[in-house]
Amino acid sequence: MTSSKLLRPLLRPQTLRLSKCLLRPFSTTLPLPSKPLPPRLLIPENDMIENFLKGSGPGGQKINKTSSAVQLKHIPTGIVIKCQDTRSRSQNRKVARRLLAERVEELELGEGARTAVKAREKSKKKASGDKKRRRKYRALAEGEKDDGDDLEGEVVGVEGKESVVEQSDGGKSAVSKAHEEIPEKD
Amino acid sequence: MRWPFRLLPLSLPSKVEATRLRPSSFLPRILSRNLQSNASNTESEARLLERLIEPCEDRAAAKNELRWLKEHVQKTAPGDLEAQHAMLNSLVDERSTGKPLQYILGTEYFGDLELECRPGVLIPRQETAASVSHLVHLLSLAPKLRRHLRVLDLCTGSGCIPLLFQHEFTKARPEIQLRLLGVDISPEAVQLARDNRSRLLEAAHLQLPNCDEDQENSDPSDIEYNTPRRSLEVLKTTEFIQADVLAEDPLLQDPAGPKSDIPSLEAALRLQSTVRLGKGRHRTSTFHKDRPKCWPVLICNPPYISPDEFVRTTSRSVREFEPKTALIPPVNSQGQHIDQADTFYPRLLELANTHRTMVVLFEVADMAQALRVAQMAKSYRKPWDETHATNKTLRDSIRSGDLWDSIEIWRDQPGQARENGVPEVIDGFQVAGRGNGRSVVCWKYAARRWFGDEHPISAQIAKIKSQVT
Ligand SMILES: C[S@@+](CC[C@H](N)C(=O)[O-])C[C@H]1O[C@@H](n2cnc3c(N)ncnc32)[C@H](O)[C@@H]1O
Repeated sequence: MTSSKLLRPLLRPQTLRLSKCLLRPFSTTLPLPSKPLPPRLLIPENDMIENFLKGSGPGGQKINKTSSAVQLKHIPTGIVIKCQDTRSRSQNRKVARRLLAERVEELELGEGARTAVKAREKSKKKASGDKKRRRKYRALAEGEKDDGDDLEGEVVGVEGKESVVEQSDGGKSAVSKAHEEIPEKD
Repeated sequence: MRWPFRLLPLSLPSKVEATRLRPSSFLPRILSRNLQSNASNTESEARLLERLIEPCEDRAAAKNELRWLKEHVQKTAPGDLEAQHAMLNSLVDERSTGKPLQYILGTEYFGDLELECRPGVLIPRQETAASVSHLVHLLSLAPKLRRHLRVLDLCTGSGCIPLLFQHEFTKARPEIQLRLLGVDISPEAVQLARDNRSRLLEAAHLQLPNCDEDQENSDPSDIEYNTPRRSLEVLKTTEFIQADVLAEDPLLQDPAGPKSDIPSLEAALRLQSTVRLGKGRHRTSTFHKDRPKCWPVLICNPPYISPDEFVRTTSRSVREFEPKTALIPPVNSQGQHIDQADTFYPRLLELANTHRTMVVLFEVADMAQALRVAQMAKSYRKPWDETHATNKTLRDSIRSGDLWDSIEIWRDQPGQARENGVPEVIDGFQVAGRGNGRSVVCWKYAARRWFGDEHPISAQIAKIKSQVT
């Protein structure tokens, strides 16, 4: 029930302005995915900037940090996602892409991310038995301040705006400036 | 007790992935319930975190490591809180001495693979995985690769490079027969590489029944269905042997000269191919005939840190816990004008020449070393060979000198476009990607054929990529 409610606006012509950001990996004749959650969407690699947040050290043989954190910035929307859940960078990359696709889709849903986020949270409560849906989203207004360096799950932000940050296990939310999280490397 | 599962590649079908391979989605919650059940626990946790900050260098990294250590003890002693506390304490003690987390937990991730790590063998680095993945990606785009591809990895350490190459290439191009060989001077490394191969073999075995059950998927042309099968075949023929890459071929050596217990690469390759034929395992296949001297793909992440840089630029846990022979090359015996950090590269270029290599990937420490190595590759001249003297074309090509058609430098993330989108060239060498200078990649003229036309490799790759996207 969640998906049909959340996805219906996708079909309205006026909300399709972002849809070129998303590609369906499998061509399907159905306009809506048949699985309940999450909708499987792919963001083209060219639309993202990926950072491995390793600091500015020499890398290679000279250091052996366990540095698996992945940060993705979606260029068209400015959404930033960070994932350092697992020790596997490649797993974190996959998770970050999935989370980003979810967020971009929420934007695409029409009335803006926040409403969709709230809607998702509500439906999440009803579907509390669903183990797959472990993340809640909160409106930023209620968030407590945090310096953002101790996040364990994800950082979700929109560049240039204060944005919601969510932890994977604590449910504690925080506010951070997304654009400060991208060390511009060269 | 659960090790076969831990070693399954992370890209497995969803059933396994959901239950075994995404511990973070459910474990932290269980753990925080178990370990933070009262105030004193929270307090002791804060102390544990403090102790991790120094070896981890920052708070965020320390938090991650503490979480992973907790997940580890939870898995090792499920349900037994006492044991978990004691174990967590002693693991944090160990970590606070600077011992790398990977040696403590016993594994590290390399691409999709979780590989075993042991003190005495270098821990695989993410940057290495990124370069290897990028090379595999480029090769898998080549429409006209031969049916067989032979990949030699020198200084193989944990075996991470051939094992990842296998994993990614088989997925992309299951129709091509891969043959992989890893070589290391260290017996501990050779043993670990063989163990890592065995574990991946077991994982591939475990995947087979799943495929068989699934009748709808039994179409022999189905990649999903065939990949585990192909992986098994390739892993079975993947080998790791001991040899000294720097030692000269004894056939070229003064017989009265010094002898070592460890064979030279050439001697080891000859020996290995005889053994294979002796067992008769692959007698029918021309691919597996005695071809110790033909390796179209040559990869090496050699020791590349000079003794001086070792003291000044390495982190403490590298310096004190990883094997020096994996990091610091010996003094170059041939030429004093060669930086000690660069000892391996002239020899590697020579081996690429004598093994009919089409593409090499050599890891380096930084852009400065990348430029030195690229320059060595550019000025490499084939040693004069009498048989060439009679062949005019060959003679001319030797005179004109260039062994390599294209020499590139790759940064840490070689697949990422630069922010300004302008192609980068330094000292005449094309530079790809973002991050530190990380590897030197050279293509032979003949490798153009793999990509199906006469343009330089990089132009062809750009063309193919634009068609793909
Ligand atoms: C930097 S480590 C690379 C290990 C592995 N390829 C990786 O990327 O993680 C270098 C390896 O070269 C090996 N080695 C050092 N000298 C060697 C030699 N003369 N011949 C062959 N291997 C050597 C070391 O034992 C070590 O395993």
